[in-house]
Amino acid sequence: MSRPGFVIETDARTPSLLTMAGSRLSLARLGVGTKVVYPAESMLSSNPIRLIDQALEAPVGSEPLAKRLQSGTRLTVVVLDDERPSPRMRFDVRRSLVERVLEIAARGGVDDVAIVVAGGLGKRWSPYDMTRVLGDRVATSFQPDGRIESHDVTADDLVPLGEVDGHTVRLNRRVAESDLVVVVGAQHGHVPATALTGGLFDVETHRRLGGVSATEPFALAVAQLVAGSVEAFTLRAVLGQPYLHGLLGFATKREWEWGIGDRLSFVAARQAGALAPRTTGRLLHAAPHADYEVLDVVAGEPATANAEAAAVWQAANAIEVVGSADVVVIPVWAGSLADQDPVGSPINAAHEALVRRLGSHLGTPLLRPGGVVIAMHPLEARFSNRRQSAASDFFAKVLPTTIDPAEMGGFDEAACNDEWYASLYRKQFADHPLRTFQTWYRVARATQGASDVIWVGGNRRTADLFGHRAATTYGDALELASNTVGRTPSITVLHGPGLPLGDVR
Amino acid sequence: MSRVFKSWAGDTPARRGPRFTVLRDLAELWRPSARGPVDPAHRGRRVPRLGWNQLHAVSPLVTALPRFELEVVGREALVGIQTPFVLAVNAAGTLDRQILWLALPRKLRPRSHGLSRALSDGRTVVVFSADPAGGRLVGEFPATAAELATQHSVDIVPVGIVGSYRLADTLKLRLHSRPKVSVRFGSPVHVRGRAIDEITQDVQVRVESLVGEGDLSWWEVEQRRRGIVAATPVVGARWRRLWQQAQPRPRASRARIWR
Repeated sequence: MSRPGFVIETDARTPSLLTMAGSRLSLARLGVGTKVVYPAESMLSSNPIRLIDQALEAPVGSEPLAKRLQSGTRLTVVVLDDERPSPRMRFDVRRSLVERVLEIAARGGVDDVAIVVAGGLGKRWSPYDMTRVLGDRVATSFQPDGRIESHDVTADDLVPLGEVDGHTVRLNRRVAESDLVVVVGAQHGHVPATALTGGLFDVETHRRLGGVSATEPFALAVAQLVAGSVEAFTLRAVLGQPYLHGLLGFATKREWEWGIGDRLSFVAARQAGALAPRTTGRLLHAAPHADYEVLDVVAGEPATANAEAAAVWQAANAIEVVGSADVVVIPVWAGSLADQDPVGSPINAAHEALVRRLGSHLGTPLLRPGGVVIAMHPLEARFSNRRQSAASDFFAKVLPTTIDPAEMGGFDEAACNDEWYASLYRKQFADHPLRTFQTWYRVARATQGASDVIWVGGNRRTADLFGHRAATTYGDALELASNTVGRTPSITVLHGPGLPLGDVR
Repeated sequence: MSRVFKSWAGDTPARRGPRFTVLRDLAELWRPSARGPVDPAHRGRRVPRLGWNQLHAVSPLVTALPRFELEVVGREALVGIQTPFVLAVNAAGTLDRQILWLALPRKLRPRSHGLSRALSDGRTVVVFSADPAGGRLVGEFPATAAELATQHSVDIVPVGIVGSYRLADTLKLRLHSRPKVSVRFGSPVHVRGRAIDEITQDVQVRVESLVGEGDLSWWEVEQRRRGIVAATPVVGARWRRLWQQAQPRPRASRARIWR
């Protein structure tokens, strides 16, 4: 059992604490009285097979999976890829989950089995992604026959399920025509997943679900419609905090527990980053892989199992924080933002800081209304031509025009109808253009309560495009913030690459 | 009184031997007559009986295959067998022929067409089973193998190839581990004085046990061979067959009974 997370209040004896911004690491002396929230301790992963088998034998609100499978069952395994833990998993637990499900299906003599990857508006999986995540055994058994597909939100053969508010909801054909759908995913966040709405719909439904005018009742009605049409069984692994190996191993330890090796690693990593050319230095942080302890595996009826998985994650990761703060400081480590993206696009960085980390709380926000967010990231406007073409254009054409989501409707629609973006999404494994818009909508929604967002070390033009501000140093950022929050603000820092969950009281 | 020696019979300096002996020795060893007399009864046959040295002359390619791992089991069953012979092999995938080619020394690489003619010329030939159907591991063998063997009075060597099902497709994927293909030779089937059907049936049973033996214990294979336990069909849909083929291997530290 790992040690739970905690909050320390810095004083004169507190050592310098690690901060990360993009691919830069540094030790900073935070002001006296700053509250630093440490996530629960990370642990090495162990073999999850026993947990998975137990969950499959005693699911919640459902019969064991083996009893629901007959040789004539048309079985589809849906691999959810909506919320990826960051940094990405060194050993992807979804592989073990899928393998155990297939083992049971093989023993039960099920002939018609297929795997569908539900990535929503995210990039579709390349054959290499399938091998990397699901492993050689699944790939060799299913890929040659084309029985693994990555859901295409623009496909022509999506099946209409029914109407909600006059809108026709379309679902992936294979999933809609299956007798049983086993949904496999990993829980790394406090929000319970809604079964199957992780991304098996058409573009229009995704637009309605994540658009500016998205409403809770509509999402609920869609979930009910799917639950009524598809027989589903959920299998979710609840993950702990990331554990880093090797040169970056110090990042997931507490600073006062660093040994000689950790200190030397830190010095070496900083020095290597400083000496190496910029691109090489970034590669150090390009694709860190972290180990995730599997806290529990939950299986069963989708709604119950998803709620239980979220409850387990909350119980393991909630940290009691006293009072919402005037200033919340969020270092953003870029290595975790996207695959093969060493620094992270500014939009992804803003999402990580303002939606994912700032929004990780149990109801009461970490930031008081009218408070200031200080985030750390270089915000370099660098985009991959192939994978982030839509984000690049959003940055160059949409943001200079407006930052208000309500005024972006026209751009949003034009991007969805753009042939070039559609081609990049279908054939070149790029994100769907709508994803960039919806990411921005969430960022805009998350910053509504804040009076200011200040990026330390951030590109001034980018910060200005976002409608935020940039500061050279942390001290300068606090100076800027003092205009709004006064000279003695209460400050909360979210520490480390892990994801703490604030239980603000 | 001392003897008087011939004046010309002085000490002769020691003669220095040749400095380079290798070439001469090699020439001597490879002189045609050095291989011993040829038995006129076997004059037409290139390799009368197989010895260890011939079996171990396997292509160096086998050890350096980058994409898959080739395991050859039971090659010793061929020691002492008269050549040529008929190989009876289960058809598992499209690369079977190439895999068999890699697993055998150059002189034993079989022909798969013009079989009767090839046997007359002293060449080993191969007969494949039909594709397995109806949940079986090994398809039906045609009577060709038994007929050829009877006609030419040669032996049949049963061979089981495991792990090559859809290997060509699998090799196109970017995998982290190399798929393993196993070629298992069984002891030869002698055909003299036996009926064609009986021989074919015998070959069928032996190939089936060779294919099954990697996954089963020795006792299970033995019981199957004696007909006490019927082989349970484990394959049906294609994915399940591939799933079974890609089963993780046991730890290398555990001693294997079939080695």
